Formats: sequence, structure tokens, C-alpha cells
Amino acid sequence: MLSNFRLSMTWLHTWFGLVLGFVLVVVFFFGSLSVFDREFDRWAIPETRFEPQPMPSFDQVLLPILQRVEPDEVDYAANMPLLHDSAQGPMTPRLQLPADEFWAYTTHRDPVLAMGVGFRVPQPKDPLGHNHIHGDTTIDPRDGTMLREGQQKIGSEFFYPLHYSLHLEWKFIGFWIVALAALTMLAMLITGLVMHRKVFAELFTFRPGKNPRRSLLDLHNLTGVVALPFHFFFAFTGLVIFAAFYYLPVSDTLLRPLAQAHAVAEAAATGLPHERAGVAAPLASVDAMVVEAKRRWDARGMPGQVGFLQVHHVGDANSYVSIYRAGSDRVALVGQAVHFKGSTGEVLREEPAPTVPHGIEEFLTGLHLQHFEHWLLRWLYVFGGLLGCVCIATGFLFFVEKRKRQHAQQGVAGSRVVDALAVSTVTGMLIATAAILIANRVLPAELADKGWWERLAFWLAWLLAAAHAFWRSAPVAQARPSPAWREQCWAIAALCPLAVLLNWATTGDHLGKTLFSYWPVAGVDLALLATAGLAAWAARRLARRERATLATAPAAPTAHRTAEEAAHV
Amino acid sequence: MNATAAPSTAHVIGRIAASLLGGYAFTWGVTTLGITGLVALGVDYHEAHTVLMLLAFLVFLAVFLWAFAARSLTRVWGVLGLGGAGMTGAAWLLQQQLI
Amino acid sequence: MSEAALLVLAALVTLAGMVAFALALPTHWAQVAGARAPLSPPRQRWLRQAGALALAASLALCLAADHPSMAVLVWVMLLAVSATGVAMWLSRRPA
Repeated sequence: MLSNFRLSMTWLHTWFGLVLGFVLVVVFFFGSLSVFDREFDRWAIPETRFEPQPMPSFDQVLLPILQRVEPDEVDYAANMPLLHDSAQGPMTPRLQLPADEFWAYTTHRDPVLAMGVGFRVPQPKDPLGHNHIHGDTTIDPRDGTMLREGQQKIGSEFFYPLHYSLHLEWKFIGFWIVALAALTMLAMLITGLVMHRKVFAELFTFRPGKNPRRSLLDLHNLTGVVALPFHFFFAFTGLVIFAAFYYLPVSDTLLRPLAQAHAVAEAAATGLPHERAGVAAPLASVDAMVVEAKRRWDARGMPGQVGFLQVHHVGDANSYVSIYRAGSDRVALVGQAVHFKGSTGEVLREEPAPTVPHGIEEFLTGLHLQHFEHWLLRWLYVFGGLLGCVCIATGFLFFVEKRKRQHAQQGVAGSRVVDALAVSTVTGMLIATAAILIANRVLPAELADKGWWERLAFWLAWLLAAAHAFWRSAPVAQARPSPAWREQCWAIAALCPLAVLLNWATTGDHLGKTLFSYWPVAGVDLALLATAGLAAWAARRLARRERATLATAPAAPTAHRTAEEAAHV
Repeated sequence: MNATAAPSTAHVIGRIAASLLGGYAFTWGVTTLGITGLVALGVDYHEAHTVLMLLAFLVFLAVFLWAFAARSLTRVWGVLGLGGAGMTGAAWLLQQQLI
Repeated sequence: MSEAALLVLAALVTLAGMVAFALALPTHWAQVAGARAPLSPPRQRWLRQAGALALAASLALCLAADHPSMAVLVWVMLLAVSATGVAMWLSRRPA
């Protein structure tokens, strides 16, 4: 596009980085929090603060509960009209929908068990489609009690979906925005390498004592390069994970005939019936099937626990039960499924070892989705994710530093707007995170739809932070630092310890106790305190720099510019 | 388009559209033709689908960067747009032969 | 050796490797050794070889601790942490 390759790549890096960077930093931050999403769940729902349990007896504990689960009202209202063929008669009432599929899921980090039912639409418009209305529940596996309604799992149900969909569900637009951001991330890494010619010579270079533009660029390069494989693989695997369903749904569109033909052939080859038979049949003992599955995994040299269990075609002669092994000791996800005939308990199929393409895909998706049990690797992932946030944030700051004097002279508001947006995003998201945790402790547990109020607190806090950022941004138009950074750092330094104190006050769980007895909660509290410490340190440094800037006259363009900097657009 | 002058806003918008829309069309074409092509060669559908899902975004990344590196915007639209449409059409035709 | 001990050792060895690679760069050598003793080519080669050996050793330690698929990821992330740590340490020294 521009006169040479390097200039074009620089343009791309600067402008796509700037625009999509605001989305990316949010994705990276909440992705980092999501590494410990279930630990946040424990913090948010105190009644779940107990040790992880293996999957309890299906026959004694899970089946009675599954038989009592109802189709979700919201799901029914939204999707039943879309799935039901009104030409065949009136819509089946919600409570009369027949159960078609049971599932139960557990991980080594989860004390509670997630389970649910897929209810069949008896008269669907598209008989070949996946016509299910869902009903889900979470239970305490020790006694089968259901978790109280309306309690939001702040980690796995809020932070985690935020990072892959921004909670923008209309026509899945959030998924597409995140996908664009992920593609941009990959492009940023490549274009960044093209721009930064001295990758090895400057691998360890960070000069905080030099002028801000140089220090920021050093830090931007450092955080981008040292974790380059991490940044690349997370963006890439994120795209791969959703590729088949959202981004390139070829099997549901252009290649549907081919895919359907394959599904029918596969069902015949594997002996796993694709359709219901229409003949009723009872369900044999699933507990006995679990025992057999475990025996077979052991025989293959991979003993393990059940991670995921699924009953297909419930109540039908063609019913089969799929039992998947929890993937806690390796990167690949749950796998090594054993399938049983529902009515008799005989083994229909034991999944063979994956082929090379499937093995690669399992490794890549498993690398991102992290079902493995490895605490060091998880913390290393958080470190990588935060390094990514620093990379993007220093990118914004460099953009502003580079242009603010010029913009001040020309009376252009560009730098001011970018700086205000940077504050809104970076410190703003930290403030919003603290706010939702505080709201979680302040609001009573019995509050109906407590999760809705918590989300309101989150978005309102973020909006307030953004308003504050723009309100305080005037100095940037005179090429001076915005006080909003320092002020929001102080807000974070105050809000995070408040959340820790509220946890103590409302649950009795303080660090003195949890450090020795319950790491998930201790970890969240410690992270909050560390964040507060870092924010306070940053606020003080920013105050010092602001005082220094006021003391000296506005500087002329620095003499330290290198040829490399001059090349940046 | 004079490649040494600063590009006009219209040109920039055109480049961005070509890189994203053209890139997506091209990727869709590679994916569908790749899958049907592999199936035609005897590969299991599921395998072929997995292989292309793994390659698709590497292809998208490559053409996305090329869309900005290439001198001629017209050429970019041609290769990505027509190429994408052509491959998709070929995939559809090939599918008719396979089922 | 327990998994934890192996991983701690792997982390330390990776750090040592990164220190070696950093010192093999003239600018950073000068930060540590001062202007007195410039970095000679043999010493630079030696440092690079030592660094490579250390990183290979830390990979072996990671593989001894965990399933290969996880070990590789742990090692790649240890490289990132170590490089960052070395950069931060050097940033505190006079340029």
C-alpha cells in the first residue's frame, strides 16, 4: 500500500494495533483471569468453598436430579418458536418437552458439578438439525443439593465468556469482534517483527531511565518478543477453537450435504446411532459403565477420572452413553471416550488413539482451554497474558507520546482521545473487576437474580471510569500527562483491598485462614492485594513524573530519537 | 494508483475491505475446496475438515498481510475476491460429484 | 526428585541460560563488566554455548517432571519469564 513493504507493515501495525488494541487488551486481561475462573467462582459463591470431588454415582445421585431438571424459560421463549414447525401443530408446552440428552461435567478444580438436559422439540422444522432446548443446573456432589438460582459464577460465567464474546450476543457479533482482534494480534506479531529489526540484539533491552518514548518502546518490544510464541499460539488457537462453529461453519452451509453423508456413514461404521429408534427402552446401570470405562483406560496405561458423561437419545432403544476421561495429566482435552449401549451396558465402541490431524487439533485446543492439572503452568499462563496486556498498553502510550507534542501544537485532539480511551480500557477494566467483586460481597446472597445486579455494577463502574478518564484528559491536549492514570491507580489501590476485607467480613474467610486451608480463595485475595500494591506504586511514580513535568518547561522534541523511531509512522 | 504518494482515504478503506472481506472470501474458498479436494482423494471428511480448520487462519493471516503489502489494490481484489469465489464454486461442483 | 523440585531446578537453569545469552551481547556485558574488559569473541562464543546448553538442560528437566505435551509449554513459558527477569535486572544497572 505504501512505498515499501516495511512502511506498509508499519502502517498496518500502528492503525490496526490502535483500533483493535482496545478489544485485545480486554480479551487478554479477562483471558488471564479466566485461567483461574473456577477459583473466582469459589470466591463469589461461598457455599461452594469445599474440596473438588470426583463425579458421584450417576444412578443414585445424578439421574434423579436430571429427571427433575426443567427446560430453561428464557431458552424456551427465545428458541422454541425458531425450532418448532407450527404447520405440524401447536408448540409443545415447556414442561412437557421430552428429555433427549443428559450430560454431566466435572474438573479437578471444581468442587461442584455442572449438569444438564437437552430437551427435544417433537415437531422440528429441520429434523436434521440440533433441536434442543436446554436446562442446566449445578449441584454439590456430596449430597446432590442444587446451587441456589441466580448466583452468578463470576469466573466461569462472566469473566470467561467476556474474553471470547464481550457478552455481545446479538447475532454473535461479539465473537466476530474478538475474532478480528485475534487475527489482528497475529498480524501485529508478524508486522512487529518486520519493524523491529534488532530482535536478538535488543532481546533484553529495557532502558527505563531514558525519555518516555524510548522506555515505552523498549518495554513494548520486550513484552512482545519474549512471549511471542505464547501470544501467537493463544490468538491462533482461540480462532481454531471457534472456527468450525462460528467463523467457518462450512459443514452447516456449503458442505452440509457432504457432512450429513459422512455423519450417516460414521454412525453406521461406529455403531453409534445418529437417530432415535422411536421405541422406548430403560437405561441400564451407568455406574457399571463408569467402572468398565475406568478399567479400559487403566488397561491402556492412562488411568483416570470421568471428566464428561453424556446420555444420548434418552429413553430410546438407540440410547447410548459416552464416557470421557478428564484430561488433567496432559494438554489434550477430555478424550479416550468409551461408548456403551444405553439399554444393556455393553461396550459399543472404545475411541481409538487420535489420527495425526486430530491429535494436533486436540493439543492446540487443549493448550488454550487448559483442563490440565499443573499449577505452575497456570501461573505462567497468567504471566504471559499480563505481559500481553503490558505490550498492548505500552503500544497505546507510545502512540500518544509520539504524537502529543505535535498534536498540541496543531490543536488536534487525537492524542487526547487515544489517551483517554487507553485509561478507560486499561485502568477502567481493573476498576470494573474490583467493582463486581465488591458488589458480589455487598449484595445479599438471597437476592433474586443477584448476577444481573453484579453485572450492572461492573458495567456502571467501567462507564464511570471512562467518563472520569475523558473528563480529566485536558492536559494531554497540552502535551502533559493526564492525571486520570494516577487517580484511577489510586482507585484500584483502594477498591482491591476493600474486596478482600469484604470477603473476610461476609464469609469469615481471611488470609490467615485460607492460606493454610483453602488456596482458591487465598489466591484471589492475594492477587487483589498484589494488584493494589502495584497500583499504589504506579500512582506514586506517576505523581512524581507529573510534578517533574510541571517543574520543567515543555520540552522540545528530544535529541534521543533513533533512526528506528523516525521510521515509525 | 501512484504507490509513492500518501494513499487517499478511499484507497485505505478499499485496502481494509479487501484485506478483511476479500481475505475471508479467499479463506472460505481454500477451506471448502481443500475439504472437498481431500475427500475426493479418499480422506475421511472429519479428518479433512480438521486439517482445513487448522490451516484456515494461517491462510487468512498470509493473505491479510499480502493485501497491504501488494502494490496494486485491483490485483488484491482480483486474487482474493475472484479467487475466493472461484474456489468456493469449484468446491460446490466437486461436492456434487462426491455425494 | 519430586515434580516440584525438578521444575524449580528447571526455572533456575533457564534463568542461568538467559543470563549467559544476555552477557553474550556487548551492551549488556559492558553493563556488568564495565569498560575495563570488552567482550572478546571467544568469550562471546562460550557464553552463547553455555546458554544453549543451559536451555537444553532445562528442557530435559521439564520433560522429566511432566507429560511431554505439558513439559514443552512449561519450558516455553519459563523462557519468557527468565528473559523478562534478566531484562528487568539489567535495566537497573547503568546503561
